[in-house]
Amino acid sequence: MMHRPEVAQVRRAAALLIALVLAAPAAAEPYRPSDEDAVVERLPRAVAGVRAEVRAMREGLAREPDNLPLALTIADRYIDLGRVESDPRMLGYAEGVMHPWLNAADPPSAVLVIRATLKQYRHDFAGARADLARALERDPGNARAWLTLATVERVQGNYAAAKDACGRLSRLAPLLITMTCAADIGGLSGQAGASYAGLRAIFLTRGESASAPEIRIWTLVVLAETAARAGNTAAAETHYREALAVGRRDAYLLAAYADFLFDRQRPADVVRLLADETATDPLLLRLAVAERMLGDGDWLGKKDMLEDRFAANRARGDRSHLREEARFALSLDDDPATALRLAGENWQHQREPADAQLVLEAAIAAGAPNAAADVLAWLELSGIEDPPLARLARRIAEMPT
Amino acid sequence: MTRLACAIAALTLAVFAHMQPALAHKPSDSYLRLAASEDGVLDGRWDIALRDLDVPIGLDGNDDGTITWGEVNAAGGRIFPYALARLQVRADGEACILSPGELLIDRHSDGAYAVLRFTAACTAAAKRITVGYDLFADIDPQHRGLLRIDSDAGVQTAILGPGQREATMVFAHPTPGRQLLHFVEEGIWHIWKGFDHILFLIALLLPAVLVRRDGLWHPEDRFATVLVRVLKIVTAFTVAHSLTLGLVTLGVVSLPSRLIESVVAASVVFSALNNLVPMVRDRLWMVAFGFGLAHGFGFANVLLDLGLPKSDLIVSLIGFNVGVEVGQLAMVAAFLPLAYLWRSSWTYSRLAMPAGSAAVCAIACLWLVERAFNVALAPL
Repeated sequence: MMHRPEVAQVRRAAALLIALVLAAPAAAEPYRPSDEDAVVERLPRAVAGVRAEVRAMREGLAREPDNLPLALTIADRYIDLGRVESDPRMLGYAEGVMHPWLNAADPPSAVLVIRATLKQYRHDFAGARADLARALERDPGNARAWLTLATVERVQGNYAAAKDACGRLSRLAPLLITMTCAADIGGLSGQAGASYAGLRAIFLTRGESASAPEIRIWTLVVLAETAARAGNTAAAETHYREALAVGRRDAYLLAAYADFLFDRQRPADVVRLLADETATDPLLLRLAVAERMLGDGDWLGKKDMLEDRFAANRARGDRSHLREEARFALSLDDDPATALRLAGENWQHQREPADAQLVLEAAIAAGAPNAAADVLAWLELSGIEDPPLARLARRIAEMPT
Repeated sequence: MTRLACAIAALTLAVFAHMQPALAHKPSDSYLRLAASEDGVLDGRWDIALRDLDVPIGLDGNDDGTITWGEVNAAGGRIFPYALARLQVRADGEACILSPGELLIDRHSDGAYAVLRFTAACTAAAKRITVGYDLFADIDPQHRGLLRIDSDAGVQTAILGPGQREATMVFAHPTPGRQLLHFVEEGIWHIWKGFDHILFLIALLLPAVLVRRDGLWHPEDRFATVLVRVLKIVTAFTVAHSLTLGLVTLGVVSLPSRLIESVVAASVVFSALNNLVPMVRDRLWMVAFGFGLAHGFGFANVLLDLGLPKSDLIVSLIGFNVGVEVGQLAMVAAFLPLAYLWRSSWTYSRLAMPAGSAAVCAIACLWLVERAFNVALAPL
């Protein structure tokens, strides 16, 4: 029985053969389909499913342009679609729907929170923080704002501020959410063991009743990451598997589990995990890296795809994918100098363990241990517990300067 | 209980935000190209994502999650006005008149795009072109128009969007010499690209290095004979297609393109078949001439699609024809020595020629059916 990659290979070879034999050279030129019923584009499943509903809502908004609650509903719907399909276009639509209110002089706190969310996706973390601060000033009971703020602080490596924001959730959100938020930060800032134990206890009693699968997945991912940080890799693996079993295709979960598998030197498992995930750039990237490690020639085609996508992003002036571009330069393009530069630039914007790891790996590959000084200092300061980072830091310490 | 549900729903969104999203596709872009044509007319090509057009215009007519060519085509009358109303092109301050052209499809790295060809009629010899861009400004503030202007002042690009709605670029119009060269290049490119033209010629030339005796192919020993044969065929083909190319381009005669394309395909079938079942032996140059007339119609359609300057029409026509001949000559010059050297081997007369002719015949039959009945048979 042929495995999926082999079938795909045969299909591809056959298509190439047919194309070679029959093709009038098809330059990259626009064409006029000869068949009226030829499908030229498929809308993403989630988008197609709600198209009629969203159109009706938009028409409602067109009739009542001042209906802020309706606009907020549509915007949230788009943001959710953007998550499910990993598609930033949806965020643009959300912004478009909120446009009349976004630039008002003194927007209501709900608008500020949406604006902050959009800024966060665009990696404008300073802007997001400012909006959230204003929103919370007016509405200190806004759980969503606190949770979003905790995210922004976490991404930027400000663990004390993140812990504070998580703490404010305690009377505003279900216990599971508050504890997951806190455990996540605790795990990052040197209390991995205790955070894991505490969160696990709560999850065992409250986990099943968490209504939304997204929340269960989030908690399980935090449990897995925190367990890994505490050195309990068996538990980490279990929790990742449980998260997968929830049944939602979640790009963040897949990326996190893949990174865990990479740390355990298991590229074959990464390939199995990410087999068909070529639509999402960060997953495509990890898949290509794993295939390269296994000596599977497919990685070259994926490398080309990624290059095209990065080029398309650069063409529109988008610089929010520095982490992916740095990893690409390091692990697929064999260009440690560029990787180090991009990783350093990325580090100015975000400071998650993955960002630190990139700088350290690039510094080692480029033979430039001094370039890692900033990150090493941050590791000391934050007290972060992370075995892979610790290993890399030790390796750098041993390098001649 | 609903209050709590709403609150949890809102938190869910924040939870997602908490899990640094891995956004896959890219935000919305359109690709806008302007290039000098002639007499102040700019040729425009605007690639707009079908997914983006679906939001204001609603392309998925039957709401089944797919957009078909039929649905796009039917919406053409709405797509052009929608898009062109959100584009301004000014030459030295004066507004240019935008006229819609053909609607096509192209694929980019993130999906299928509608290709809107259009022209902008501007004052001749303008020095500065200003493009004003408002597409999707009310729908998606993150949408960007990636503008590219080709002129003799080089290629200039700009990124347009709500933050920068206008871009002004210096423009230079092509000199007649540059224009001629452009058409020569197009001629070479199109004979190179036109497999059917070259296959016809090559199929006719395959037996030129052989002679048929007693029902079998033998190598032709006299090079002079081979040369004369080749010259007759190539010259006849050239004269014929130049003749019709000129007549059609100058508007003297015209035939439906589907008919022409089918005849061209049929010519390839005939010339390949003739190598397997010899019907015409000594008068191949007449076949080359007769079918060459049809091939000329085919070239003319291509040339007309490229858009000819009203001034310098003859010059551009001659340039294109020169390009075709240069390309043709190059390919025959590459083929002939190989065939001549190879002619004595049994692999040529009993393997390559019959097998090659059979393959060409099969392909050409496919083309003939596709073109005559306007269907797509090959998954290309």
